[in-house]
Amino acid sequence: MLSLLWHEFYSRRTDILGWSLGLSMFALVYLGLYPSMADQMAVFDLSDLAFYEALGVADMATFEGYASGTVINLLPIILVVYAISTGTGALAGQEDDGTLELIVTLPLPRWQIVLVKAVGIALALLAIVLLTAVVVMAIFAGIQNEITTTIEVWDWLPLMLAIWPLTLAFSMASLLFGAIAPTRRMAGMLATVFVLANYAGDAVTNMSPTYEAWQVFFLFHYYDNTSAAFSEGVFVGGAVLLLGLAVLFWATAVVVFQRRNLMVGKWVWQ
Amino acid sequence: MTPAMIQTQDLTLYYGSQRGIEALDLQIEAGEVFGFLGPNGAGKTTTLRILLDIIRPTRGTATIFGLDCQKEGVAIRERIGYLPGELNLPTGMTANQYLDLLAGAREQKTHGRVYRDTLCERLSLDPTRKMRDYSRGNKQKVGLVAAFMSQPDLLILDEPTGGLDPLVQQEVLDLVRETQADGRTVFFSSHILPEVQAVCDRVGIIREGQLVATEHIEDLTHQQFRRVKLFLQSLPPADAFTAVAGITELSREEDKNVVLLEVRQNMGELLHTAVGYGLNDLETLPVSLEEVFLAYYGHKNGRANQTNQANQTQEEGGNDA
Repeated sequence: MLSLLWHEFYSRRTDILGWSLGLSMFALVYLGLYPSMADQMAVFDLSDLAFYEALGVADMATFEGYASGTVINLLPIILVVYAISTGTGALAGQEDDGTLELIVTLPLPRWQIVLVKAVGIALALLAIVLLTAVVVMAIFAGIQNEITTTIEVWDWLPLMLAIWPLTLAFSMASLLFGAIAPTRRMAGMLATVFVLANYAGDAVTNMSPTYEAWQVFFLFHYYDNTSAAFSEGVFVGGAVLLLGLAVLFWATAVVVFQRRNLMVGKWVWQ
Repeated sequence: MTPAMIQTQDLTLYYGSQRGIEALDLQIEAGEVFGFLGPNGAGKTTTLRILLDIIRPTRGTATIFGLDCQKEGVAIRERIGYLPGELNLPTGMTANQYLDLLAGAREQKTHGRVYRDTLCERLSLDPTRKMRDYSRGNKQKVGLVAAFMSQPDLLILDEPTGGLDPLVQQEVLDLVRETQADGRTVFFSSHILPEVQAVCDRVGIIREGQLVATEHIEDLTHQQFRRVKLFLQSLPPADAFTAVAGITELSREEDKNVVLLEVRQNMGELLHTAVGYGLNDLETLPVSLEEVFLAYYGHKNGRANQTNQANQTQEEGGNDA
């Protein structure tokens, strides 16, 4: 099983480098530009607009607000695209391209195959988050003296690490959709709808006090993308809950994968 | 009593209302090379995939080594080498990396590496290249090495010679023979009949999801129909033999008074009629597995259609030849 696990991680090496580079470039653009526009941003007050607040970009007047509204807010949304892609690719993708057949005929129980896939995805996401975090911290160290902020370089690490449980939960949901659906395309559609519903649901319930109680049903609610995360620390309870959901999605994927007919392009119940 | 190597009872699979296989009863003994014949869509691959627990049957049971394929799949697969019919390999790896991965997952120790290298050499496979650069034949060779390299007790090969050149095809058949000589078992699905005839002890013919025959190859080719050449003193009229049920005249050489017949039944009546035209000699010609196979699928195949009709007559009429 260890050789399969190593293969799962190693085969994602170009994904890890590519996504880390892409996310780092994104962070470089936003953080690197800040010193030159800090004065303009200082008068940029969006706090009265519920819509922006719902999208996590309410406070752009301070560096903390700017950083949380851009890097902390948008990086996980971008990385969720990879979470969907790799989550649906692990089972449904390999089933579609036929490479799963020789793997499932190895002397391994199916749950171990799903476990290996899940651990491979989790490690890849963690590696992307860590590499990006290192670059973000380096960028911040480079601009720290040019801006007014109370943030220290190491404050970024827990905030960046908090991206991992959120994207892991979505990747495991995608893995589950891959175990249920007849094709990767269908799994990808389901996973995309799931992510969009969670994002839109969180945004809408954020905007309206009437629906505030519904926030608990949306995964983005458990990820703190506000500037408070810098001063008060990450939402540990939310991160733990997201990790728990990731395990739940994985366990459900195991049950579903255990039952399904493979290589026939059918839904699990067919 | 030693359990059969592979045994299925009433094995049935439906995808909703779509038929996969129906009430398949199959028994394969240890040390056999068993050929599984049928055209595309007949249910060969479905059967193999049920045995490997890739898909689950709607009803019925399947055992290998006396173990239940669904409940004890891991223990079974430890002793099986499998070549899928539609082989797809990860393109970003070299064959060596991929074979290492499979060997590692089987916890195969380094002594297996010597045999693996021998297999690569015999099949003329360069395992150091990326698999995206391989032709279909080379990919098939990787699949064959993967199936054979652990020297398993049972090999399940789905169309093993597809995409291979004739020389390598022969090498594969030699490997199958050596596997059998080693006391191991091969379950061999194919629609290339000469190769099945060359290496298999018994064959099963599957048609529209149902097993229509399981016979030793010799029995199958002898029992289904015979081709008989009659050397006569005088040439009989054209309908002299075809009037007898189960007999089809294939050709005649008028200058030599020779008639070639296909006989499914009523051999006694045929001989009686032939004696009336001065039977000098009689020769029974071999029937190939391909001809037998076509007879089973006769409704779609020209001349064999006649034999199929004769078969129906036989069923209606009662007696075998």
